[in-house]
Amino acid sequence: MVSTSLILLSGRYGARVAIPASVILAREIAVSALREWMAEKGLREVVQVGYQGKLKTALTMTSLTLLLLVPVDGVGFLGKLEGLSFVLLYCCTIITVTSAASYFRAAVPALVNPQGS
Amino acid sequence: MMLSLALLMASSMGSSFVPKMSGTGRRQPCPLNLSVLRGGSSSDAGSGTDSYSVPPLSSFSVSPPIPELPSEVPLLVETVGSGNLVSPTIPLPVAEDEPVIQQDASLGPNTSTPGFLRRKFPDFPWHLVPNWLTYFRCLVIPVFTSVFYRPESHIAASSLFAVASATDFLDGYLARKWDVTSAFGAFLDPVVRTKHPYVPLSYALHQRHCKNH
Repeated sequence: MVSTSLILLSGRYGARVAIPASVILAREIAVSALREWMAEKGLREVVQVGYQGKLKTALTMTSLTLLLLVPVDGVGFLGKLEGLSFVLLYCCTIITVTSAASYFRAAVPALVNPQGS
Repeated sequence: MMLSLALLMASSMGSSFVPKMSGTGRRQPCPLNLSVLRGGSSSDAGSGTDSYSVPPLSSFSVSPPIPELPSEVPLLVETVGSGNLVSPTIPLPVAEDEPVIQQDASLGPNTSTPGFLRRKFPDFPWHLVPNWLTYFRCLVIPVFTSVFYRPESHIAASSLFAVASATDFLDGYLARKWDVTSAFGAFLDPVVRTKHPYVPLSYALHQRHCKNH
C-alpha cells in the first residue's frame, strides 16, 4: 500500500516525491532481501522489526495520509497541509535509512564471516 | 507363564476358569519341578556332558495341557451370584497423528479475555478476522489506484489509505492478542504492505499511454 501510493504521488508531484519514494522503496527491497538471507541462515531474530522500524511505518503512513489529503489544485485548508506533509515525508525517509542501517549493522557478523561447515 | 496366570486366576476366583484336564491321571495341577531345569541327577535327559540341556517335555511333572489362550484376553470379572460382567475387550489407544483442527470460534490458548464484541457474538469466526484484514488490504490497492485518478478525490483516496494503514497495524495486533498467528500471516503482512507497486505502475503507464493517444 505504501509503495503503491508513493508511485502514484510521484506521478502527480514529480521529483519532489519521486526521490524520497525511490529511497524508501529501495530500502524496502534491501531489507526484505536481508531478512530472507538471514532467515535462510537461521538468524531471523537478529533482523526482526525493532522500535525504529515501527516508528518508520507509523511516520510513513501519517505523512502519506496527509499528502494524499492535499487536493490537486492546492486550494483550501487542505492545500495548506502540503508543506507539512512534505516535511514529514523527508523525516520518514531519514528514519527509513537509519533503521535499515541498524538492521545491516546487526547483520554484519553473519554477512562477513564465511560460513564454514 | 501362561500357566501361572491360569493358576493365579483359578486360586483367586472360582474354579470355572481352570480348564478341564484330559488325558492324564493328575487331578490337580502340580507346581513345576524345577530340579529338572537345574539339570539334577534325577533328570533323564540326553547326554550328561552338557551343563544345560533341555529335558524332554514328558519329564516335567506338570501334566495338564497348556490351555490355548485367545489372542484377546477377555477380562472377566465374575462374582458369585451377581453375574456382572465387565465389557469384554479393552481397546488399545491408537496414537493420533492428525493435528488438532481448530474448531470455529476457538482462538489460541493464550488469547485475551473476551471483550464486548466477543461476548455478544461468540459464534463469529474471530480467528479468521486477521486474515480478512490482510486480504482486504491486498484487494484495496487497485481500488485505491482508480480512486486516486478521479478528479476531486483527495479525501476519498486519503481515507482509503488511512483505513488500509489501520488494517495493517490491526491484523498483526489482533493475531497476537488472540494467539492465532501463523507463518502465512507473518509472510503476507510485509508483502501487501510495501511490495505491491506493480498494479499502480501498470495503471499509471496505461493512463499515460491513453493520454498521449
